[in-house]
Amino acid sequence: MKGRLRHSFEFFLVAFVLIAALFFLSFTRDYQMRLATIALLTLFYVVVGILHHYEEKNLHIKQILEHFAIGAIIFVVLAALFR
Amino acid sequence: MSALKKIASTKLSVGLAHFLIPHSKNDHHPLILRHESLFVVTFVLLFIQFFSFAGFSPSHVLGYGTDINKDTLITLTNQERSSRGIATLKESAKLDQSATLKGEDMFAKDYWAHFAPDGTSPWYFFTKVGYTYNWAGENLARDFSTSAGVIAGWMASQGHRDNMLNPNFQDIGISVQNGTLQGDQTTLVVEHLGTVKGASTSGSSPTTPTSGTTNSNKSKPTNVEDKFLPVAGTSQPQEANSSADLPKIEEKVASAVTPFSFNPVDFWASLGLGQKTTLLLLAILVGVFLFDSVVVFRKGIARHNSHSLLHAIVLSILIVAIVRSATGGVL
Repeated sequence: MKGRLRHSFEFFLVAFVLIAALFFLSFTRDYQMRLATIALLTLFYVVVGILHHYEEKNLHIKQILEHFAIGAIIFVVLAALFR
Repeated sequence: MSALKKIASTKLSVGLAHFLIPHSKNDHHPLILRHESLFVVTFVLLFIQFFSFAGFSPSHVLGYGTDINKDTLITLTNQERSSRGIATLKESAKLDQSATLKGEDMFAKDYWAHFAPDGTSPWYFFTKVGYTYNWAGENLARDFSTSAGVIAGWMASQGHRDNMLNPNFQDIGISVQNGTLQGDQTTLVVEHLGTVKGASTSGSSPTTPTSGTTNSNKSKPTNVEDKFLPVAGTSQPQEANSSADLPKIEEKVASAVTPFSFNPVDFWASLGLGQKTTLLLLAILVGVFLFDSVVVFRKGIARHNSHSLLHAIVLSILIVAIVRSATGGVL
């Protein structure tokens, strides 16, 4: 039960940060700032994923690579969207 | 032959299952969700971007840059008219020129409106290029990716639709310009519609307006009338006054006051190839991630990979962002 609550909180946190970042990106005109925001967002996603599995004591190289892969997709899509 | 087909279909279904569905033969981890496949997806997305940036494609994929061109816009406008039995429009070099001047003015003065901040009206550009009119109209669009998207956007807005389908218009001119408007790189589309002075219109005469849409008062030559835009505070440039002897003038600018309506079919048709590919890839990933998370949760499978639901949520938000950005604005 506690684990599910923690999962839900982390899911909401990631979704909230992503949506907030999208709002920020849509109002920011400076391209460098946009790129930095997207890079930070990607890093946030990867770090949160790794920390999550580290805390669950089931961190594996496959999970790290998977989070990096999804992070790369996030970066490519957003960098194209907000260039 | 039918047996062969059966074998092929069986192999195909097994392959698809291996690729998409978690089960014991793929270690409860569909191939498409493995990091190798996800990196391949990333490279495909990068390739699409490179392809567009390198200039092989007329359209940039997700953001700035489009596959919009004048000829297609005119063709699509005429298709909308002819499908309703309305006479098609003829391209006018003067209206092309006036639309170009309007677009240049918008970029130079950095405004997104029918009337410039200094009060310059849309009709100024008609008269500046020597297009003396009985009827004139203007539609504007920005941030669309394709010509079909622009037309769909205008057709979804009553004021723009009325302009496009107005039987009194005979000529059309369009300008498509890239530039930075209000801080955003965008593709701006200006559509000028008109009927030259003295031409007989095929449609009905202007309807009696509730607030004076039609002007036959010679002392007040150009009644910039629009049921959508407030006329208060708009000025009439000197050039427009030169048409003081026009018998009847109708000028319409359309403004997007109709509620936003989203038609998935029209939206999909309005997207460029790159956008469709990107959305399709992301949608497949979301679908498989969701399916995977349900199966893993229900069967209580323990495995070395991340939470699919989180990935699905994040990719879904990206899809929403792409859809939102692909919907341009009309004015």
